[in-house]
Amino acid sequence: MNYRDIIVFDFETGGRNPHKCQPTQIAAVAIHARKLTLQPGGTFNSEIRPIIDDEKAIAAGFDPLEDEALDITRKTRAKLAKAPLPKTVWKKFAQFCDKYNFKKTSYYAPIAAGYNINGYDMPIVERMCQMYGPVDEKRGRQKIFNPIFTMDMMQHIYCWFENNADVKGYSMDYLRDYFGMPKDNAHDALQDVKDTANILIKFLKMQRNLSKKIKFEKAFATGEMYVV
Amino acid sequence: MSFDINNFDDPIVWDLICEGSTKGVFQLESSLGKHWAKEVKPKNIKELAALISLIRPGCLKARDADGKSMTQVYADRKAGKPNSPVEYLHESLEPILKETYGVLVYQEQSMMIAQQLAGFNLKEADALRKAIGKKKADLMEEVKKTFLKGTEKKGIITNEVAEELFSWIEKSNRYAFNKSHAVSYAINAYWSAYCKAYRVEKFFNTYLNRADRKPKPDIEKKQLISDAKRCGIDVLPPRLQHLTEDFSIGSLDPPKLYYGLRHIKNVGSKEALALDCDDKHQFVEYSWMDCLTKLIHVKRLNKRSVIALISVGAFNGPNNRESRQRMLYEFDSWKQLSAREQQTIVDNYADNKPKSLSEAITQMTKDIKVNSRRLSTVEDIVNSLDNPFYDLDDKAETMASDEEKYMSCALTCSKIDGIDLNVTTYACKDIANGTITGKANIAAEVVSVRTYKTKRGKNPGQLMAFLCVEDGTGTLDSVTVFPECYDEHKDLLVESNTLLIIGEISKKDKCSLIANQFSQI
Repeated sequence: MNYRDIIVFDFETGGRNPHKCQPTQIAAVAIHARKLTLQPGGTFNSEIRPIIDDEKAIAAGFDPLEDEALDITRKTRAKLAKAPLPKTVWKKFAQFCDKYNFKKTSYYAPIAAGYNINGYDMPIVERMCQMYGPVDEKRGRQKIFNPIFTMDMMQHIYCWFENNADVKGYSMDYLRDYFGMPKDNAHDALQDVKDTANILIKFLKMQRNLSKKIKFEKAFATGEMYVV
Repeated sequence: MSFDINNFDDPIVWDLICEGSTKGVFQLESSLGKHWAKEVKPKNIKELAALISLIRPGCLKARDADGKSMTQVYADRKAGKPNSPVEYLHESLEPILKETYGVLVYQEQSMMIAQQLAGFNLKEADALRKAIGKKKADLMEEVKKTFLKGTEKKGIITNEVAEELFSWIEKSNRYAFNKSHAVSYAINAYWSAYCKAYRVEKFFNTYLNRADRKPKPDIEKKQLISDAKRCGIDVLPPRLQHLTEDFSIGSLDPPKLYYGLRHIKNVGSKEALALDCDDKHQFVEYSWMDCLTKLIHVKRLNKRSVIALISVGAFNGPNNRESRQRMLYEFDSWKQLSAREQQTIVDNYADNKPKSLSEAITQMTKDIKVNSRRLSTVEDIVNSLDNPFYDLDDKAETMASDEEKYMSCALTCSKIDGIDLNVTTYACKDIANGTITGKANIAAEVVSVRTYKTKRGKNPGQLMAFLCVEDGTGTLDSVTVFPECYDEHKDLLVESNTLLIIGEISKKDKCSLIANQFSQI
């Protein structure tokens, strides 16, 4: 299974609703599936120009930019007005991801990874693909990432820490503290994906070691079930 | 090529067969054929016919009393191994079975036995062959009776020996092959080996151009190219200086083949012919911008084929050293321009002589009127070209992986090229050529993994594996991973993984590596 590379990605946006917000930055790092290392040259980063004018944004079906969101991501309307257009960025992002699809079929497409991507970033990916492509015509869904698997670190971390009283929260900011990671560039999409990638690699390495020792094969063969 | 059609005594041809260098040789090109050619070492047409008969499934499955396949029995007896003496059920069988070392290889041999020991006429002997072949119990019973009656009448062998002999013929004929068929196969095999020995570049060129007719053309091309490399024939990837529709023979010193454009995945005959045209000598001087405007645009090459051609370096040449990633990135930007914008760039290309696509687009916005909304998009494209969103340098691993995807094998570099090889002691070619002994460390990419359940040894029923691996020097198709090592490292043994393999050369087969340890590189 792990011959598919992993792309850890993150959007910064100008709002909170993943179905209507405007992305203002996208960053991604490509991880070599076997080696669990950053692919050489495997970094993507670009700001994205949103519709700055609130009325025009609403007319186009988007939420207007929220000041709070811009403050958190340390972006200004003036700076974003000079960023590349979403279509340009999205085409190049699709091309970047395609570099890591080693047989150029959706089955071998890289696996999407990130922090809270299932709840937030993947709906944006779907939306961007519907607007600018590529779309899998049969399924009517995005065609950049593997259609079946995603690695949402938030889910992963919840499963690992759900019985650990020391962990009080699951936000990326809280986890940076918990893991002892610097918070200097927090909420910069590139820094966020690097931090997420580091946590992901640590977990995957640990799991690869553990899975050699803990075998689940025929784990229920004795008939001892938890739920009968 | 001049040769005597009835002369089958060329030692160079027999050496080629005995070395197992039989990829592309009729009937012997499978790994099974190569392996048994090395084991049996045929030196004439008779032995080659026997080899071809012996590598058929029935023969390989049939076992003697010691559990050895009949193929192995033949090979051991031919090699004169002390534990495999040539034995006959009865001395009268020696003249019939001598040429196959006492192994009943051909159907004709059982017919001769019936004729000489049971007095069968030709019709009866043929009935025996048919009865055994078709496994009809009632017919068998009838033939057996006639056979036993005949041997009793002839009086050469006793009734007990006759019974045993009949049951042996019955068993053997489940795998025995038609001799006339085997000999004609052997003659064809000899001549194809002759072509490989004496016209090696033509041999590979012809086979590569016909690889598409095989059930698995990708694997066929990969194996042929790897074998060509082993035989000293370099296969070069397409470049502006040699764009040919089909595989073709390049310079002869040292001999080289050029990869045919038509054989690149996603490139059709139309695109291949458009590039393999009368004025192709001009392409050598082309820069990337020339390629974009004069080849891709003018010749209306489709998007899928352009991506494939860029990915294998077909647009690179003496004046185009752009990275493939940069060309792919720029081609994507080019496709974002409207037909009118593209045409303006092409029309004014000779006058403006832009050095880059970004410059050409900027010039285009001055040459024609672009409305303000469109202008913003076009400026955006220019900005993305000047400040790419990701690194556009080529990496060995990506190039190799793209070439594998589109050409079935990496020709420019291998995935191993980007890796520090301080810890390796040999390359795949050194081992495949059988020139080394003792310990060997190699860095290689896993091409295929075949698992196998052990039948003998300490713990029968355990899984072991045979790997085919490759590096820039060639392919090594015999890396053995015994159960203990397989169990420890099986998670690393996956297709396209790059590994450091620590092992030692097999004492039985010098072209084979027995792996002791693997590590990820």
